[in-house]
Amino acid sequence: MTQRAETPTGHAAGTASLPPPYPLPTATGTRAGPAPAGPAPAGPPAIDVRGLSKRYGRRTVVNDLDLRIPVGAVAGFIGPNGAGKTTTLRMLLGLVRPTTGQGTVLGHPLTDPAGYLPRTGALIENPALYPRLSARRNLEALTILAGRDPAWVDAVLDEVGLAERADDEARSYSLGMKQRLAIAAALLGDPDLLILDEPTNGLDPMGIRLMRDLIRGLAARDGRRRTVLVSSHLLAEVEQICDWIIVVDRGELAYQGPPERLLSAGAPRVTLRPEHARDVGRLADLAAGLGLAVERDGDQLVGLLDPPPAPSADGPDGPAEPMWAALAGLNRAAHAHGITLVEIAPGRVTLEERYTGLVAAAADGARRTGDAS
Amino acid sequence: MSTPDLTARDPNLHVLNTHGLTTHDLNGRAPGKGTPAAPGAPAPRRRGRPAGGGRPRAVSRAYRAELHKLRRPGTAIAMGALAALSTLSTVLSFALADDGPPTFDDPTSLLPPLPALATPAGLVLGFRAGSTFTGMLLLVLCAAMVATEYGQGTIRVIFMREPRRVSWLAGRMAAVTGLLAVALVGAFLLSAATAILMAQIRGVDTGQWWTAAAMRQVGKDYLNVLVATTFFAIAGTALGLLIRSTTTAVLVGVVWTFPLEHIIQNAWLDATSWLPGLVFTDIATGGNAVSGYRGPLLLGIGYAVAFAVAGATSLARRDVTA
Repeated sequence: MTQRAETPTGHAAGTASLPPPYPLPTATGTRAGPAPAGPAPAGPPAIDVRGLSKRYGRRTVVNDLDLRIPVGAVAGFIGPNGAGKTTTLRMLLGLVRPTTGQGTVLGHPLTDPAGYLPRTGALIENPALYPRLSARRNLEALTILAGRDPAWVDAVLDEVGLAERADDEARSYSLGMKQRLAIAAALLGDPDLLILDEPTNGLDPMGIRLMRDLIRGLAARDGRRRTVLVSSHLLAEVEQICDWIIVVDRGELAYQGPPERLLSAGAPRVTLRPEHARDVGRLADLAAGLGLAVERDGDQLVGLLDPPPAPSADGPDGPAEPMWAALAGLNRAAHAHGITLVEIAPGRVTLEERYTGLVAAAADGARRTGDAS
Repeated sequence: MSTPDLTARDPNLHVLNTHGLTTHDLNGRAPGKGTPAAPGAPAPRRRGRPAGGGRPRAVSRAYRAELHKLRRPGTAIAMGALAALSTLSTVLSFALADDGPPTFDDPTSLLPPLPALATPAGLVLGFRAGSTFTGMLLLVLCAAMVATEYGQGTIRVIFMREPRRVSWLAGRMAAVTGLLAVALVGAFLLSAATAILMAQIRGVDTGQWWTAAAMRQVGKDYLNVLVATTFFAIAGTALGLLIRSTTTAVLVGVVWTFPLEHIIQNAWLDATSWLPGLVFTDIATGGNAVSGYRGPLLLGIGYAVAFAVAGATSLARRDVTA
């Protein structure tokens, strides 16, 4: 049996309240806000666009999106299918004309892609190659078109592990190899901004690992501050490599900022295990009485502590007094009722859980708005 | 103690260049090439940047990139098909020629009579007659090539590297036209060789083929065919840019130029003077008895400009969702 306790405020486990906007410097100065976690926002953002919208007839694909990504960030761009991620990336790359919106990419106006695309590498959706040309000649054609040093071709082929088959026709490649070739094309010329749309599509586990290392390495190499914007459905990957998160849903921004801020907003997770499995039900009642939202999971309780603790000044891993106080209170109550706890384990909420909560909350909001109208 | 072999390659010994990309191992070899790089070989220049290069340079880069892409077997096959059509046309011109009066100056006649083949224009009559088919072939090929860029999604990769879309189109058309000029030279030479052979078989006197007037005729006819096929290529490219689907673009191109224009022509004789495919054919064959040469040429230029503007506008204004 699964017991579920909700807080008096009705805050369901898994949903998340949005943290306040993350401060970033703008052309006119830095807005006030709490001390930032994540990439240090020195100088103007790599991407700073406001009010970005795209409408096809009466259908709005992206709606009034504000994006601010600091220079040097590895930004994860996540959202459900059809949330407008790819359209947004296409607008940033000058492939799709925004209906509204303005801003800058690498300091150049969004309306002047010729100003920033030479410093940008990108992979959008599936790899697009000339199937009857070799990998080398595919890249050479792009190198000539971009006016770059031809020596980049060998460098990037080696980088993605395709040097050995560089002279084979691209049509003979597996999906994963084609994906790697497309990534090699994005890396030509050592871009300051790398935009990758689902770069792990079709990759095997080793390819995914290579991609993760590549993205991490790119951001950290030779002291330069490259910015990577990566759209992905693999939330665990995003959580591992990204120091900036953008969540969109139904074309609208749900969150942007450091992942720590997203993960620390709302209730932290806790696991409670009594000495005897028969006590799980009574322990759940005690937790509910103290306002803790928990669910039974076998012979233990798993839940979120609500109300959420205030973010610690020492960062997300530092002590959070309200959380400890709530757990201590539960421990005392359990002891008073003859229940011995053998495990009280606070832990981090995963990005997947927080993301699910955000999207669910957005869906609720949209439904309520629809009902009201 | 022996001296270590410094030329032995250790695959684990890689150094990162100043840009972080592994470009040369410690033995000085460029990765993937197997040949040693020159000592102190420079790493790829990071700032070989096209930004600020302006439109002329963008056109030049697009031209070179397109030529690079066109160096493939498919291009050779297309050029071979073009030469084969010219040769076939020459063979048919000689094989089917009868003893009627010389009507070589009436370009509306597809196949010339035997006496016309003995005139100074005889060397190129087969090539000229074949230009109708080469033009149509070019139209379909160009429509398919551009539409395939959309179908494969390569158009978005191109525009992420060269956002000046019209400059890219200009470079591409320059590459196609340049290659077309070369292909037509090849087709002409093959056609001329075939004509000499066929003249011997049919007993055609070739004495006038090598006069100065004949050479002028050769140059004029070559230019006419080049201009007409370029117009066909522009029309095909515009078709591909507007339709963006390979199958549909090819279908529309084939249906329009083969049956449709000729059905209209059968019902309306003046169509020859107005419909684009027929006007381009008139230019290739040096004009017609009704409109002469100047009229079709001016109208053909007008059509080519209109197609180019329509294609460029579509390319520049429409979203790339491929």
